[in-house]
Amino acid sequence: MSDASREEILAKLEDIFRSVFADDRIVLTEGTTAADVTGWDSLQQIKIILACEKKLGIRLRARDINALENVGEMITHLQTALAKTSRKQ
Amino acid sequence: MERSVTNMPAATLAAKNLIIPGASADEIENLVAALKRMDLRTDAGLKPITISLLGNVTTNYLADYIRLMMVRQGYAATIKVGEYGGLISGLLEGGELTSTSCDAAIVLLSYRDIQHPPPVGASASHARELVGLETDFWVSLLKRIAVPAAVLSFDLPPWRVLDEQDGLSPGGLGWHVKMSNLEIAARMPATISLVDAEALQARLGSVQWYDERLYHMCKQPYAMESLTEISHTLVAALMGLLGRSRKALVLDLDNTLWGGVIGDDGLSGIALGSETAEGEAFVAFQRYAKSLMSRGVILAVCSKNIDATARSPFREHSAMVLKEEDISCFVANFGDKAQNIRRIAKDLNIGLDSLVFVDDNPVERALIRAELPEVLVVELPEDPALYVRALDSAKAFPMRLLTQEDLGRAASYKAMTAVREAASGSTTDMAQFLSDLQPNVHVEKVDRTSVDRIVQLLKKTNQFKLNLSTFQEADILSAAGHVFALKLADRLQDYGIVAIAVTNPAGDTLEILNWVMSCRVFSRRLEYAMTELLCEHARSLGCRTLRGMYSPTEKNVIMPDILEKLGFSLEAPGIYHRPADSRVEEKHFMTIVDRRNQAS
Repeated sequence: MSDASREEILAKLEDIFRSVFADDRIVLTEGTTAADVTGWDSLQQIKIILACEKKLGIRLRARDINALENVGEMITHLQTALAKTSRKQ
Repeated sequence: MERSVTNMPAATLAAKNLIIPGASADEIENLVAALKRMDLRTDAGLKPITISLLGNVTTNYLADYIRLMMVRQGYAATIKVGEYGGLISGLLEGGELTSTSCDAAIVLLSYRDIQHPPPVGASASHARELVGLETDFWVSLLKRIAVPAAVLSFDLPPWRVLDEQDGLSPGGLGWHVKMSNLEIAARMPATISLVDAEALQARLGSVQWYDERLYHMCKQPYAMESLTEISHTLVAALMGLLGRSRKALVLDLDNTLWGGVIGDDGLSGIALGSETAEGEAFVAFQRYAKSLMSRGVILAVCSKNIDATARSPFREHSAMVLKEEDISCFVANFGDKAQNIRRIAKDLNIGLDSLVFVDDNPVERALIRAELPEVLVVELPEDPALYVRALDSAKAFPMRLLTQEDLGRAASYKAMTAVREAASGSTTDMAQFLSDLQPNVHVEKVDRTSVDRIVQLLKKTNQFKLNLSTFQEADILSAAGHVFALKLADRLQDYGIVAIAVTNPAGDTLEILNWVMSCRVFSRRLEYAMTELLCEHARSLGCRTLRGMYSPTEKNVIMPDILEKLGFSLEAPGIYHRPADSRVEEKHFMTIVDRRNQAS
């Protein structure tokens, strides 16, 4: 998991988005922002974060969460969190 | 990863058939997400309802779950999510809940809303005073809610400044919460169902109940994992208030009430009684079913067995807690269970949607779910030790106040079956039978002591019902002189208050605003006695005509025939009238006792 590439994380994020928004047609790219996905507001953002934590086996800090405004930033953040988790193990 | 249900009608159907408890968290989450994208009001199979949801927390996530639980109960709920922090303003004059702009309400209290927390070191008497202030404050606010409401009581805080004494001694915040909950519960009107947050919190565990990180992130205190149980509990309470509580429990026998198969293992071979762990588990389950019966749930048996074999443990096994006379309808044969359950509903004169079915056999459960989706089928675990919990957590029998009628209900359903048997004989037999019963009708005084039952009966009755108008406690009390509440008792039993008519004199007409009669006393001719009383009342007020508005629903289709038999005739679509001075044709054999002027 520690070496998860950006593409791998992107694919997982896409799965998570499709599930949270109940929409299998969602396609994510690194440049996707909240404006591109119908219903992606701050409340859904928390659901996405919680789903990431569950699916990737990581724990994010509350203050980092609001900073994640687009998919690219999320991937960077998740990559760091994954690296930290694997160092601890 | 489980795929979400994106096909719209499939999502509603899956939501309607959702098994709680039983469904996986993923399944529920996917349905919540799918329903969120749908406009449920376009689904003709769902009844529209508007619910206001109010609390000093973020309620958006919970609202989505409540919407799912409401679909499961057959409603398309529009949920008006109150503003964050709008709890008290919503309850003040002119607030959201003080008008009837919604059909029902859900209000969430929390220890965070406590207004008079005891300071550390408060004396016992000061702590008690503070509970009084707390209670007065909330009761005065909650009483303003104009619609049926489920109100979540205060939860216990996740920390305890006074350690173990916090919840046990005056001066602790936990103690303040517990005492305030008890006091508030005792003072709630019948239209509010106070939901026990401490019990809910205990079921979920404090870790699941209170997610600090989530609260700081978005002001929702409950962990996401708790939302299923919380919404299920709140919606069950609401169903109780809306008269949608189920009425009867249909039980399988082999491996449900005892271990093993009576037809193969015989009386001495079945597991039942304190000799074995398995036998004890079945005794515990029977005890639970019997307690439900004592509080008004009707019991029925549906078993694939020879009738005499099925009855033998009831008659001869010493460890049986349930007796034959506890079972209002006993069906044992080798026929199809769906067919037999239809027959049970018919015999008990209640709808399929009033039934709960318990069977250890997953094939039978699946069959009933497919054939009779109106019946609530409880998902039983393999281990009989967990049966009680499974049935209890299905929350099929929500209740608000236990009435005298609830306590005597099981017996009256037995008597009803006997009456129906007699009624199927010749008419002279019927007359003889009815007069032998020596029925007495008491015209009850309409006051504080009877109003709960009156409101309950008006709400819960489906078949003998003129129209859908309902009344609040205050409506009934202010029109007490024009409300008829009839209690029926005969030599076999006291049925309690079983018929209500709410009337209103208007010029030379006595309007019947609504008229209901419990299905337990059908074929007793109580409606004839009521007609007589209404005519008498009309004449005493100088009214020449009785007039009532009938609006047909799926369930009250019997009314036009009955009204005609009672001498009413159709004046315009839905409007029935009857002269107040013509006699009621059929004899009712009842002695009428007027108790309205007696001191209570």
